[in-house]
Amino acid sequence: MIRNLRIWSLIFLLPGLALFIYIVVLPTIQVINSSMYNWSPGQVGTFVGLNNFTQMFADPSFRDALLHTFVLLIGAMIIQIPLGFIFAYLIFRRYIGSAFFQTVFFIPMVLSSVVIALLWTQVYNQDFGLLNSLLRAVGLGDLTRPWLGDSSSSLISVVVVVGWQYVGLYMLIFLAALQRIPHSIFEAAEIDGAVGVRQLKSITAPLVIDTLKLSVILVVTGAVQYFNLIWAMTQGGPANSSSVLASYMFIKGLQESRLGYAGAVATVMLVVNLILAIGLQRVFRREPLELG
Amino acid sequence: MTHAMPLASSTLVSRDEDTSRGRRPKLSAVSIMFYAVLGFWAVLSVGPLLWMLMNSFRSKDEIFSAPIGLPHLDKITNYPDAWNFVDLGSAMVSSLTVSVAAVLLGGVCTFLIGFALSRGSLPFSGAIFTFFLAGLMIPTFSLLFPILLQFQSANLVSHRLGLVLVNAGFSISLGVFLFKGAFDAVPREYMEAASLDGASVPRMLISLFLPIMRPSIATFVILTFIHSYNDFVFALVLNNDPSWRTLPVALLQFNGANVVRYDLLFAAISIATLPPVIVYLFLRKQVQSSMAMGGRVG
Repeated sequence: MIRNLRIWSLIFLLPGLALFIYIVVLPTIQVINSSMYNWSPGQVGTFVGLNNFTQMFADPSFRDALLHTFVLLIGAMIIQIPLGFIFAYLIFRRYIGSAFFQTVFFIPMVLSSVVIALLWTQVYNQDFGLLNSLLRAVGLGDLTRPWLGDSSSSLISVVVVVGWQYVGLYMLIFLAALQRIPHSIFEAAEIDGAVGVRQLKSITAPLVIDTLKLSVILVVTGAVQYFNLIWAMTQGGPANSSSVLASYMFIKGLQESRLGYAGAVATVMLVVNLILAIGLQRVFRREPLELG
Repeated sequence: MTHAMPLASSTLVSRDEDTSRGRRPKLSAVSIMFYAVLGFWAVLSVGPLLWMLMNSFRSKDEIFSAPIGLPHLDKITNYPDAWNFVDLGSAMVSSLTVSVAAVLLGGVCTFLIGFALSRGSLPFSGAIFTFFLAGLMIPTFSLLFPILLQFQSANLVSHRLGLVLVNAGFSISLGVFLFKGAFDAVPREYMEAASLDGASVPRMLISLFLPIMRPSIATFVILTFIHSYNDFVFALVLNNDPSWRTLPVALLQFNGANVVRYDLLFAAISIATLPPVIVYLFLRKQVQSSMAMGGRVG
């Protein structure tokens, strides 16, 4: 028996637990609690029950934000997962230069969201942006527009940047899964005549299906976290055309000082995230947080 | 062992033969496709960054008249100008200070928790572990206003310690997950042997576990550092003191409607881009595996 093991362990547990309670647990309780009050800073709140929620669901701009959150999520999934898998598969085939591509594709992942936001704001700039210049150069001048300033293109423009940044991450996750497959399986498949597309379909794809499921969960639960980028690029504008739940909450709380209402939005974010994470894990029959 | 050696090398040889035999006939069509697809995305990945670098060496008027053009070395003056325009130096120092402190605080706390939950034989260890992991499900931005109010009553707004606490606090779920797993993987006999040698618990942590767990520590440090260094929503809301703005918040000054110094903007984001890219290129394998791990956890 090790001397004072339990006492030491208890002491070790306390600082982290205190920090976790102060930064994560208490604020979470406070978010849910505040959603039932009407209050702003420096005021005593009045209890309004579920009034904030009924008001919120009746607000068209809340419904827009909710819709955009799902558009972002699905758009991110459509870009990141297929491209991530294709690139991982090609790199896995080990042609000359694979290591170079692997390194390059991951570069956007190490940049901060503000740098990415500022860079892409210039790429999308109407006058001197890279995108419009290229369109003009290839004779598609009619398509040029202020990509982020036009409410018909702002959301999709943001989705593209999110996809651009994260493809490298999903490439790595799939590549790791491919590299875990024993080489003998591929050899056996080749002896049996399964090569090329046939091998991809009947051997490779089924073996990375768990990683695919995991990636879907990651994209879905991660979509809420793209807020840094969105806020730095468009602040949800113009005219709410790229707003998401987090930017809606931010505006209600910080600019309109309606903290109870912002709490209700935050509660919806928490619930949506929980439902998606737990729901998908149920659908995919995975143990929570089991690594693929 | 000696028997396995020739076997292993023979499979290696046959594998090489297989690939070269399989590759030769389809070299033309398939490999052109391969390079076309990957080349396209490589251009897309670094194209905007190269455009940024080129424009950081051009004047504002040149950028406007021809958005794509060759850089001039004499416009390297954009760099010191951008540096002074928003005091990027002190912003970098602030970001570094806050991030390093958050990594240290979060790292020490979760390393100790990992030990306590893995080896402490405490009651309810499993439940406490789940409680910490539940934090991974919470979108951090939703906690912004309650944290702001707590900080207002605790006088932590505009205080570096506030941001350190936030970034360290958000690292706890990840850290507990990583470190408990790493402690679980160390054979029990090591600890018993150390205890027979008379080592106390803190002594074991420092001399026995700290060196063994270097890979997990590296993963935690990389992920938490990147997360804190890049955060800007909390840094924006929880700090009203312009004298120690963090780098992301400082960079946003270039985005103001009244600022039209696009040449300086390109230089400023180039400055902000270079350190992480250089660190990444040097520690490529470590950064990639840490971030793939982090992606899979949270």
